[in-house]
Amino acid sequence: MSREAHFAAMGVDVTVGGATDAELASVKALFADWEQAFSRFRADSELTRINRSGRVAELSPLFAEVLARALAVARATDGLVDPTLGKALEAAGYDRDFAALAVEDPRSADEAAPGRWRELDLVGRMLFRPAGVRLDLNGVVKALAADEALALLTGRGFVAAGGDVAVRGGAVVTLPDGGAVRVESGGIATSGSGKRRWRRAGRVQHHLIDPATGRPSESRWLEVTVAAGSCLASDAAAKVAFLLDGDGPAWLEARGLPGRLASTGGAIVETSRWREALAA
Amino acid sequence: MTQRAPSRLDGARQRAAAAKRALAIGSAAAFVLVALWAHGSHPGVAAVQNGGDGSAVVDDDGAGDDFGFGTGSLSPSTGVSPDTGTHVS
Repeated sequence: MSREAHFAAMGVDVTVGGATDAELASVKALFADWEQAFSRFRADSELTRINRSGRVAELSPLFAEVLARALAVARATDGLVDPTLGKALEAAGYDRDFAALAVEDPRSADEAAPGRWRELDLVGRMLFRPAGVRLDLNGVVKALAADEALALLTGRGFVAAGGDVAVRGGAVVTLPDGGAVRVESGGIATSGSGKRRWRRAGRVQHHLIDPATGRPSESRWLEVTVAAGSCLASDAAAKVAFLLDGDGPAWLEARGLPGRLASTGGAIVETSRWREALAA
Repeated sequence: MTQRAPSRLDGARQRAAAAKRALAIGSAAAFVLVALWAHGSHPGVAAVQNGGDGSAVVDDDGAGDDFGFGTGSLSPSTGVSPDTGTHVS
């Protein structure tokens, strides 16, 4: 890829390959707009406004479209990627930008808040939700932004947002362990608990919440890398495989997805599609 | 101290204020009723199913909006320098 650009957005580094100057400007504007709409930490974001509103809220067209996608992902993952985990993240102590988070938080953990995506009703641009349900769209926004940004490029290229990569026309992507693969199209993403970690009341916390318990997952996996038809699909699949713990590899196998799972103990599990692709 | 008897103007002001309050309350109530009616009559919401455990399972608006995972298109890298990386962020 001959031309690359880097900028910061949504709390991560964004890398864009293959964009013209005008396309790069459009990509930057997209990330700025999405950060403004979906940030949990901006007092003036649309997400904050909605979380502070009553049971009925009118959404912007962008917010409604992204929430509809998030609900589609929730359905496809049996709720493992759940857009209603805002309260659970706050309960775990993730209530401010990660850079400002105390590594040792002495506060006691708040009450767990399991996912409640089935209780959301999105009717056009009107959102109906029970009292106390707070949205967090981070499970889909970053990867979906990468997909949407890639769509702004006319030729081959890629958009990588904090390790979630959308590709068209081929790109060589390094893996967490230092190896590399070529991704022809679609996406590749890695989810794990190794980076955004902190302690609250003496317990290790991280950002991958198990929607069933409303607490940070106690998965055996440290990180899971998956390639799929889009960046959003790969990110969602990586989260699901992580959260499913020992059932993660079988879930990926059942969908024919190439995946690589690294356990906290150092063991590596690769799906058959991953092995076949890299042996080709 | 003598208290001034309410004039006709004061009476009119009080009636106008009461009418404004009633109008505001009525408008808010009408908005909520219309929103709840629209919500309840939407086909995606009206189709309430009964969950196996007896709980109500309500389909949301995008019930027909399928999400597919597709398939990844991986191959070995051929020694060229990487373009970018995937990692936990």
